[in-house]
Amino acid sequence: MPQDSRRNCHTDESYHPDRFLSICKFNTQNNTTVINDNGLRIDGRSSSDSRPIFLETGFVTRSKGSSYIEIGNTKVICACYGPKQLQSKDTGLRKGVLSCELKYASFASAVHKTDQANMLEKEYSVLMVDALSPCIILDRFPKAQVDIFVTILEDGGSAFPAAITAASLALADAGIELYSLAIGASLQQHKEWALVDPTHEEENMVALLGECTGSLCIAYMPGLSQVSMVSQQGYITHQQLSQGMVTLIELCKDVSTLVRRCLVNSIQRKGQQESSVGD
Amino acid sequence: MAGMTMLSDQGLRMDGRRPTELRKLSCRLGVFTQADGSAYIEQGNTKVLATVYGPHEVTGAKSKALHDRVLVNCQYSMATFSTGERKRRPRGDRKSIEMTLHMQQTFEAAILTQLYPKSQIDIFVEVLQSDGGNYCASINAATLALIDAGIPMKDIVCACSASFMKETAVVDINHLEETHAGTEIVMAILPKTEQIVFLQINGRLHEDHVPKVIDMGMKGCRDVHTVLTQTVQSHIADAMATMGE
Amino acid sequence: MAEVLLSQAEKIFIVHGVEDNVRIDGRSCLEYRSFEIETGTVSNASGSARVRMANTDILVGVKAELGVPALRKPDEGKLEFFVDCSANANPKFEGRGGEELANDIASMLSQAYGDKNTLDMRKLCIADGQHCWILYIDVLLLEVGGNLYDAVSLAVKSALYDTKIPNLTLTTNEEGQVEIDLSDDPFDYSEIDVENCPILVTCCKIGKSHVIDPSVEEEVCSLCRLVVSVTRTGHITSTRKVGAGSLLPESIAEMVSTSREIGISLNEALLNKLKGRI
Repeated sequence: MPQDSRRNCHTDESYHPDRFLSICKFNTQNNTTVINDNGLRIDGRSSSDSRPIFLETGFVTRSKGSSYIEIGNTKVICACYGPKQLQSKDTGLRKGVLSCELKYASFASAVHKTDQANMLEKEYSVLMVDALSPCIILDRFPKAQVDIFVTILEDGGSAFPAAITAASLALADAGIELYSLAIGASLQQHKEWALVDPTHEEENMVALLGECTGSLCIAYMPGLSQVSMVSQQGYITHQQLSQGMVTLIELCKDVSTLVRRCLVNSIQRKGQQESSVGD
Repeated sequence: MAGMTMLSDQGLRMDGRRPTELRKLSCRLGVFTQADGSAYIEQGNTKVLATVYGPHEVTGAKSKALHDRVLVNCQYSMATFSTGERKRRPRGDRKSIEMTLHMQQTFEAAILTQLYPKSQIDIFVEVLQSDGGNYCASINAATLALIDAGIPMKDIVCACSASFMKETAVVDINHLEETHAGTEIVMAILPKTEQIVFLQINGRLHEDHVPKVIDMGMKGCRDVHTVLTQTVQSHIADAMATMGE
Repeated sequence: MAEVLLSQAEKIFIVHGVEDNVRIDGRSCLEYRSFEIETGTVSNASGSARVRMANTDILVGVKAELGVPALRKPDEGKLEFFVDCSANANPKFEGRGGEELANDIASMLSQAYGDKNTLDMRKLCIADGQHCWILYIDVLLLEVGGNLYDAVSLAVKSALYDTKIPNLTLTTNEEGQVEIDLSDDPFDYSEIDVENCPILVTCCKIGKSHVIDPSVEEEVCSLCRLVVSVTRTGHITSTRKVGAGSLLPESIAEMVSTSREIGISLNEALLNKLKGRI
């Protein structure tokens, strides 16, 4: 695709040495199976287990609201600014506008960031706006905009759903009124197994082995019981799609309790700080 | 290239035409309903689509508006599959910007610009298939589109290309002849007053041959003018018929 | 995309009509408009097609060029999508104005054609790790009037069906490098198997029901759309919700199954029509 190549001052083409290793490894070794007969994955989880999650707010002190999420090896940080004056000239709007920017840190994945990543970032930014807009009560700030900046520090698998969860946590931390939180979750369909919350290796390995049958990513709003984003890729049947959605919705409900607990803790902490300052 | 003769001994060119023959020219007005004016032209294997929006308020920077004339805004764009070798960018490269500028100059001379001060007329040209004479076909298509949009002009601008091969002036060259002939003259004229609005010479040409080639170009433009007026007249006749005249 | 401005009353009229299964042009909710397809329009391209559906006019050109296969997939060819929004369709698309829409459509197409079951990329490989065919699929939006994704995918499938890839002979020289000799005969070509290529079906949520093949006015009234990419066998290669609205999981399941049925019959009809031409 035609890219703006004038700005890139990188060397022509360089490859991480591991790339050559991977090809040999996966072409000759066939005993590395994604999920073995006991129903356990490489890291010992079952197909419907998600990895442990760590959530925290208030990481970026300058911003109105911020959050940090860690799911396994995936680390995402998000900052929220606003409501502030609208950047674009469409001032005839009765509702507020949400603007999202998602970026991968250049050291986020095993391979250094390339031009391909820019297209992916743009795509994800657009998807994110669509996923989060239904949650926010936009009528509260007409002619204003809210900015969300997400940086994926490390991509250990299902980085985009983590980004969505982090963004809604940051919005809540910023005090922006929401109808509901938006929780993201994804799964990797591998033959008849639906591997929930795939790791980076699972996402890539399955594609390399050529057995990949699809990946599904959703954003669910537990407060309204509605789905605000669906993105699926691969070659699956519609029964697998519906079943996958049901599984992911269950996972989102579980994660939302964690998110709410984190918010409650952060408010309690802020309350304690205020009272100790007042003394 | 060895073995390829641009002009055979019988006086026939690569595609069987005589030196004074134009390529098959067919055109249609009013192809799109959304635009104010549109036209589609096929000159041999070159296919060009032109649309006109306006006159309307100046979009973008209001400071660009001219207090006594209309602002003519053109864009020349080629589809990536239009050329033999795939084009990476449809527009924004130097050649396209140059073409855009030339088109703008041509039409600023032809349109009655004093009638619409502080307004803007957009002319968008899209080349769907390129086989030589892109600029000429674009001008011809844009003229028809302007007529379809009902914008007053001094005359129907007609454009044609000409070249010089083997001591003969030839008219309306295609892509193969463009790359091999050595000289290319592109001109656009206002046929009634025989005034030249645009003239560009690429390559080398001895000054003795220049009048011959320019005359050939003028003749080509007059032939194009015949076809265009015929098209416009039949289009108007059809429109009148539907209105029940 | 929608230049149309609708008043509140018009929007309510459309929504109420849809809930009674009557749309403003008289169709039922699940009825598709008729469209025209023309293949082989651009002679400079290896394959081309033009689709005209009401106000939407799409021209697709496929160019087959020789290139080097990707490192991770040395035995496969490549597919590259490029979408160009012509300023003819909307003055706002001048310069880089239409880039957002173009990137959106291009990413939808790459997602839909991403799986190896849709198009056998191995057939596009010439010599493992050295040479392969790269298909540049260029989409030109000449006129934009509702239901873009469907029209684009129909045009892309037809253009791929029309694509002629020249046959070639391979010779290995002393250093083990493979050399290619392209055939001069214009009738010596091979075609691409597009049996399993997907078609995008847009399902628009209006009020409480959903419509297929929305017109521009209906798109303005809708909360959001679900674009499903369906193959002839009924497999789904890509699903995406477009627009800032939310859906109930049951609605999604309903919309997916409707789109799937429509997609299967659309694929059948398209393939029959394309084959019937020869």
